[in-house]
Order: sequence, then structure tokens, then C-alpha cells
Amino acid sequence: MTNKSTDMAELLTAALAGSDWGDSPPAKSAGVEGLRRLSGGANMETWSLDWVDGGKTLPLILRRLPLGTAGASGEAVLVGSIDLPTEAAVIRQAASCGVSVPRVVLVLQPEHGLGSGYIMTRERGEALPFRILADAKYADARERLAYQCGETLARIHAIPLAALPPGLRDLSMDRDLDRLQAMLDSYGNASPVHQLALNWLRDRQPAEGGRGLVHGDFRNGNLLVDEQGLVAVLDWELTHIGNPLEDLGYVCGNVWRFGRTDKPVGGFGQYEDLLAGYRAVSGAAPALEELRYWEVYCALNWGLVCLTMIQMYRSGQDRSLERAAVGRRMSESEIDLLLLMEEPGP
Amino acid sequence: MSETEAGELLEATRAFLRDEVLPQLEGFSAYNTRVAANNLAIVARELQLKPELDRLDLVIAGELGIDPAKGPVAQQLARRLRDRELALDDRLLEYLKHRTLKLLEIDNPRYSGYLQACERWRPEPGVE
Repeated sequence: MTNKSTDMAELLTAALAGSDWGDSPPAKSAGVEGLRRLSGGANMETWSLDWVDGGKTLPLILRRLPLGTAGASGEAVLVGSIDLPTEAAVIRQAASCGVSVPRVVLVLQPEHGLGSGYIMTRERGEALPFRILADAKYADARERLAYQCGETLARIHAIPLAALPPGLRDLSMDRDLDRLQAMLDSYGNASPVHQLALNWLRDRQPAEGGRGLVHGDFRNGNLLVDEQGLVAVLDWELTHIGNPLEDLGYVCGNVWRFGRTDKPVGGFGQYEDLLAGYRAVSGAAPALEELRYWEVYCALNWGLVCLTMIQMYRSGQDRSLERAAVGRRMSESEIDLLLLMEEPGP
Repeated sequence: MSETEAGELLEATRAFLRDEVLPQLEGFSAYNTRVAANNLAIVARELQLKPELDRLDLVIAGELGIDPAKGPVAQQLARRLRDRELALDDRLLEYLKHRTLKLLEIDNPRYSGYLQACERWRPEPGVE
């Protein structure tokens, strides 16, 4: 372990020792072990650590923006993303509404000296799409996942808006499409296919639908899965208020099927199972045709994420290899959009 | 004998990363090295295919009275579409399909959407 991460482990130990453990306060000898960086860009960091208290080990995850980096004072890093304390508050609210999520253990405060972020439980399971889709031990899970995704999304969409923290994006459909246009303009109108898709979305704009909490990044890759199926929903940084159908279209995006184009839901399931699970919890589900609009929306959204990554790299905000490389995946969204818009329908 | 060509340098570097560096790494470093090797493959394909992409742009520019000296053709098309000065017709759709296929051939020819499009639009990406 380097000196730097030794210091960090000490700061984390102090932060966790001082947090509210209810009626089982930690022993004096309790401390953080096994601290290691998992991934992330140059700014946003994800760490794995264990809280070892006597004979008990609590596996944890830290998500943080270190001090002195862009966004560390609390502002969001990705376009459309929320700050980490808000993210933690949304996850806590989701948990109290029956959504399977990690338990938030601690929200970092300035006096912890660790930047902005929060610590949550590290749940057991697999989030890597290729393993979930290929490994024989997840065969039963794959059968159930689409239905479970439907159930879970219905629970997320039923979270009372009044219970949510302030600061979540909440735009009408008109204003939201304006937002996408402004993004395309600010990135230099690089793609006529993206513009065509935005025009398509404008011309077919549905009547204002229901409003609810939208996860915003609900897809294979952000779902923790074990042999029985869905364990926890991860990565809440793009959550916002909007038309809940967005999430149902998003989870079916071709880019998140990882090559299994015959299994529209995340590469593991069928539309019918997703909608059946949704209906079982919410009492109603959209028609299949309604989802296609949101598949186009989400394919365009993926293109905008790629453009945002390029911009973060070019601006010097995040010079990581991953940012530069993801930026090159923009053409995936373009081919998916052309295929989707060509299908007969609305 | 000529000097080492750009594509050969890229291929040699990619093989080095993949065959010699990668086996010694694990975790995040291994992942990033795989990404790095793939980036070099993208650049190699772009060196080879960019002239075809540029030719597609020049042809549509000529047909639609776009001056390539005023900025990237794709950007000018996107702005005309935004301002509704240009409507989608069969010819424009054909160009967009050709262009996007060429981009995928460079960026990620294994992408499922590319394979689907090749299948659906074969032999020529005309209009259904």
C-alpha cells in the first residue's frame, strides 16, 4: 500500500468510526482494510474497502470526488448527472420504497477530509454484462431478469416525488428536447443522424405522460446479479424526474444488449417479460409500440454521452484513456438510430 | 525499400501491447491496455478508410450545393436538418446509411448494430 492510500485508509477509518452505527458502536480497534481503487475516470473515483470490526467484516464501496478536482465542491461532473450527496439521498429513498439497492452507510462531510461522496455496502454479485450473459451459473438468473427489471422499474417509478431530494432535473418533454438540441449545438452538430433522430423525436412527441423518478441509466452493466437474478440497482448518477417510459426503453437499447440482439431486454430477456413484471407491480404497462419512441430517445442519449466524453477529454477536465475511447463509440448510436427509425411504426 | 509505413507501426505497437504487455497486467491496467490496443486498431482502419468517407461527403456536398471549404460536410448537413432547410429524402437517407456504415467499419466493425445493418441493407444500403 502506498503512503497516499495509507493516509486515505486512516481518514476513512476516522470517518466510519464516527458515523452512526446505532446500538452496535465499533470497537476501538475497528478499521479500514483492503482499500483499492476499482475504476472510474480521472476525477470520479470508486474504491473497494472492508470495515473490519473485531471478527466482523463489512464489505464497502466508496464513491467520491477527491478534494481539489472539478466537481469536488459538489457540482455534477457529467452533463445531466447529479452530485454525490443527492445521489446518496435518492438511493436511501429508493431503499425505503422497496427497491433493491446497496445500503448507504455514510455521506462524506467536509470535516472527513475525503472530498465529496458516500460509502455504501458492497453487495455480492456480478455486474459485468459479458459474464451475466455468458456464464452458465447465471442461466436461471437470465430467465428471470427481464421480469425482475420490470418489477423493479415499477417500484422506482412509484417513489413519491415529494420524498426526493431537491436538485433533480425535472423538464417537460418540450424543454427536454430543447436540452438535447442545445447539447448537439454545443458539441458542434457533428452528426446529421443525431439531428435527424432529434427531429424524429420532435415530430412524434407523445402527449405528456406520467411523471416519476427515472433512474436514467438502468441497463445491463448497472445491475448487480447473482444466481437468482437481480440483487441491486447501481449507478444512480443520471437519475431525474421525467416520463417513466424512458427507463423501459433504455433497458432495451441495442448498445446494452452486448451483441444479443435477439434478446431486447439487456441481452437477456424479451419485451413481454419486462412489461409483465412492470404490470405485476404497477397494475399497468405501456404498449410495446410506445417503447420504440424511447428506444430512439435512448440511442440518441448514448450518442450524447459519447459526445460528452469527448468534450471532457478535449477540455482537459478528464484526460483518461477511457474518456477518449468511449468518445469514439458515437457511431454505434448512429447506426442504431438509423435501424430504429427505419422500422415501421409511429 | 521504403520506410516503415504508419499502418505497420500501429500494428507492431498493437501486437506488442496485446501479446507482451497485456499478459503481465491485471485489473484496471489490463482493461486500459486492451482499450489502448483497440484504439490503435481504430486508427489503422481510419488511415485505410478515411479517403472513402471523404469521397462520400464530397459527392453529397456537390449534389446539395454544400461548400466543403465552409466546414465539415456532416456538420453543415446537420445544421440544415436542424433548421428544417433540408428534408429527408431517399438520396439523403442512402448517403447517411453509406456514411454510417463506413464510420462503423472504422470504429467498431464487430458492433451488433453494424452487423444487423449489413444484413438488412445488403447488397446496397438503399431505401426499403
